[in-house]
Amino acid sequence: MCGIFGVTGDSSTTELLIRGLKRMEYRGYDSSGICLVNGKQLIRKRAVGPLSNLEPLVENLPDSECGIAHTRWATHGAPTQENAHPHFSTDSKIAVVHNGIIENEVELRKKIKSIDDGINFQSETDSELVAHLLSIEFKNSKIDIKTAKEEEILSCWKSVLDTLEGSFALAVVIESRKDFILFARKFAPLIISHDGERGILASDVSCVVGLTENVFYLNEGDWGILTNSEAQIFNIDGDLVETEPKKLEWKLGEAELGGYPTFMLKEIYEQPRVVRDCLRGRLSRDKIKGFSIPFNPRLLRIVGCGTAYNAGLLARYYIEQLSKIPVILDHAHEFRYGAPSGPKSLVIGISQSGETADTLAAIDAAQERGYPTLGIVNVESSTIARNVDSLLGIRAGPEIGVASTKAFTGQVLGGLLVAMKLGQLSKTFHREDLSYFDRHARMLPTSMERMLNDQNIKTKLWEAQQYFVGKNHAFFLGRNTSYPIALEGALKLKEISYIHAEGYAGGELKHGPLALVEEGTPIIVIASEGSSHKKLLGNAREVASRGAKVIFITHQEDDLAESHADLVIKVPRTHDLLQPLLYNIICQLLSLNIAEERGCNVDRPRNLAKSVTVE
Amino acid sequence: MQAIILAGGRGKRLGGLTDSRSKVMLPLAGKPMLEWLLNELEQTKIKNVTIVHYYAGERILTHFGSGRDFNLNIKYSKQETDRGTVGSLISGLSISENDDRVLILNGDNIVDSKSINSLLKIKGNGLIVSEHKTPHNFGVVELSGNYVKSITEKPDKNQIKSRIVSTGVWLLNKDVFEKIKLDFEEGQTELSTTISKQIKEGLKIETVRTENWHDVDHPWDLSTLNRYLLKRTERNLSKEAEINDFSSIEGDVHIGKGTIIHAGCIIQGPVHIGDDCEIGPLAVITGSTSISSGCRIGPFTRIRSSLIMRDVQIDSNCSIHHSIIGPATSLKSNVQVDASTVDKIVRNTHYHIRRLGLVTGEACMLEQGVICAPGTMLGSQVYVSRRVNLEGEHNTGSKVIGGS
Repeated sequence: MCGIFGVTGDSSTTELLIRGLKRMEYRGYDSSGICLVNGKQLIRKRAVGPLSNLEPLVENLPDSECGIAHTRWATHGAPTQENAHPHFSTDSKIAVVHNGIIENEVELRKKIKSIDDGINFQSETDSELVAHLLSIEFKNSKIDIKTAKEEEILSCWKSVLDTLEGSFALAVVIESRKDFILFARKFAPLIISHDGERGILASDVSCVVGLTENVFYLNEGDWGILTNSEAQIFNIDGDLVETEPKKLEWKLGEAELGGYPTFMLKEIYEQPRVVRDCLRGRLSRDKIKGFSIPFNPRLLRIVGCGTAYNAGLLARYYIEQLSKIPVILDHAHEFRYGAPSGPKSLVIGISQSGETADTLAAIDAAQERGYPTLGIVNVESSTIARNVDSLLGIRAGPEIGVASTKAFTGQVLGGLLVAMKLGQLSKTFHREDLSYFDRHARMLPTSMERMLNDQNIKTKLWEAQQYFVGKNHAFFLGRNTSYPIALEGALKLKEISYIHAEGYAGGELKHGPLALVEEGTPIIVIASEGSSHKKLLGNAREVASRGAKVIFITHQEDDLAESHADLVIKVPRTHDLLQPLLYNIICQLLSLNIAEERGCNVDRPRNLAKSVTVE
Repeated sequence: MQAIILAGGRGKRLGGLTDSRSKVMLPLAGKPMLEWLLNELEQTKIKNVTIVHYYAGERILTHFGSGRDFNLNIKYSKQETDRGTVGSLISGLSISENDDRVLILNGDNIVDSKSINSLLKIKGNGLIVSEHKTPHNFGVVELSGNYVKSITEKPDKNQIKSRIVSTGVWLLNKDVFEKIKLDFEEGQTELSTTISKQIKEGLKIETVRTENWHDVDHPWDLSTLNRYLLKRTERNLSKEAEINDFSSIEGDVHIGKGTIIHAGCIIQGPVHIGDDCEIGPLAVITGSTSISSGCRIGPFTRIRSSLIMRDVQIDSNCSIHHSIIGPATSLKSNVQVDASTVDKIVRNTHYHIRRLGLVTGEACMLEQGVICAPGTMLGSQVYVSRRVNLEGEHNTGSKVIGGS
């Protein structure tokens, strides 16, 4: 949610911090701030609102070789300047940036007050407490921070960390010590890198792409110090961790706009490539390969949140259809606090970032119960990716737009690969089926390219957009494999255009939602296959006769849709199992157009942040 | 100084091949035409490039991004509408206001860096010119010494004064631009026409002659240019390719990463095979063939002098030569292409093509045993049923069902 960033050992620290914040702005954009260690004092600048409000404040700051920065998505305390990070200790000698939630905040506040009544809390945040705790620890240990040795400082830092409960990624700088940054992580993402001269820490990989090629991925509970010459990492028991840095999986160009007006549009247009990359080396005419299924289950459980949950729902249809193995799908947070029972099952966690707090916790909970786990994840260096028994990376590349687009496509393909592999294991999905599927899958990227450049589709999208002018409610209907697309279409529309949108299975219509249909309510019906498609046509009739404006998304060979809708948008025909992906692209483009028409920032929708790393 | 590359046009005469990409993004010898041009530019002192796009521009953005991978700093400008060459120029200009001179190039031409460097040495305004077999399709240039005397855009065949034509690579001063802008506001949208006017008013344009200029207008031009560019291929078999020891790979052959070459294949260069392809067993690929990434070529299939685009699947025992196969097209087993001399008349011009087989657009499907006559041209998504004797031209979306 929030993003933290730090640099040591580089003379252009301010510039680097701002550059890092720019890359991280998608993680939160309520407020931002930086703190530089300069000679004798800490220089702090903070601003409410987007990063552009901070930039003028840092223009003429003195040179510094060490600093930390933060972009905030408010959880504790409103988005005000006081609550913006970095936070100071009372004597303004320690500055901290924090991502996560300190759960024993109340106890710690009491404790601090009981030790030193003179401490004034300057903000409503839980993060501030870390600065005070460290200050108290230095006093208790009678350490002079100007001259203290690294070991002494690290020992105090560890004592503070031991008192913290909850989740955190932390970075701390100290007055007159421009030679190091302290850091720690627990249930919140943090990566570090060091090339012998310059050390960098950041909340995620996409922020350091182009700055470094090698990164250390920290484990839960790791902490340490980033000096001008090296990075020292300790584990939760206090032992020095000896690890080799890993090569960065992404290139710089992938995290830049590169001429596109928005990341969302860029990422929508990247989907043909995502299909090619995700299926590469995994799909062939006679086998599914390149990843393993850790356990041949009689029951599957899928967990995810938001878009990943919708992808999981589609995966459920695929798996049940192709392998005949029953699937239970849960929101990760509901699984986590529920009491899942039944036979030993394979648990599949789906997450773009691989840092989603609830999905991570659900995977942990599954492992505690002894269930084997499989991750369908985009960021292959993420915590979930490292924790699961088996990983299926979707290879979508960095996704910067907050509303997920290309990652959904990758997640769906991931689910489909798992379904086909399970189908082969249970001998219900045959070699001929696979070879037929494979031929169509190879044609899918071109079908996507064709529809993305189809002038007729562009015109229809524009016409469809007119149905939403002045409207505050919209519905998406689907059945079977198009039901998850209805959910995802509605999610996209509400996320970025702020129009209230709901997705329903067509069969639910008469059980309630029909009551909400008024004259002119836009309803997007997404075609399904076989007999359920005919039922959907019936649903379209039902809503149309109550005054709804029906937009029907279907494929080129469907001749029936025109007589059931006000507007029909047709995409190329592909394999039944792949068809929903093409319908979804129409929903993405429609939401994007509507949101931009309404003047919304599609890359940074209000109140939302990429990768929900707090509960 | 920066370069403006005009890349807004579709390339209508290439049919279905330009359905979802513009002409400049068609792959030749392993990379899009525009990339070949940028590679030449990279060898000059030009570092800043503005690409003016319109049709299917997103694909250009996705491929080139900020230009970092091409050692250039690339910016983009989207044309508002399809307004002819001057229109393109005007949209590019808003970005280059600080420059006193600009280099202008067409994205759908390839010209070598040596000629560009000679042009850049000119002090005033300049133009690269070249000799051409069919000058009436271009801006015909009449010279007076090294300077342009007149330019006539696509003149009548009988009134051709020279075989020298404009390549569309201009070096222009800012004052010339200002006048072009004024003309544009008065409705003049062709660059060479408005410059001719300025020449009559005394504008001096020095010329540079080149032998290395390539233009693509019709599908068969793609074959010619592909053959020319393949000469630059150097033998390079990726370490990440899986090449069976019992296959023979001779000459200048490029094989990309992830590609599998099965036993018994014979590949004779110059041949360019992209990434993640699967070839054979026992396939034969010879002379001047490009196969883009993601293609699958089945057993006993023979391919010669052809341009095979992305994700094409050619099953067993096909014979394909002098053909252009559009992306994601599927040829099932026993498809035979017959290639020979073809005469075509396009817009009152007669073209005599030495060898031409089959040309398909995107995502066509030819079922088992289809036999294609020389010069068969398909749009996109054309379906051809089993054992049809295919000839002539078929539009996008058509179904050719046998039985006769």
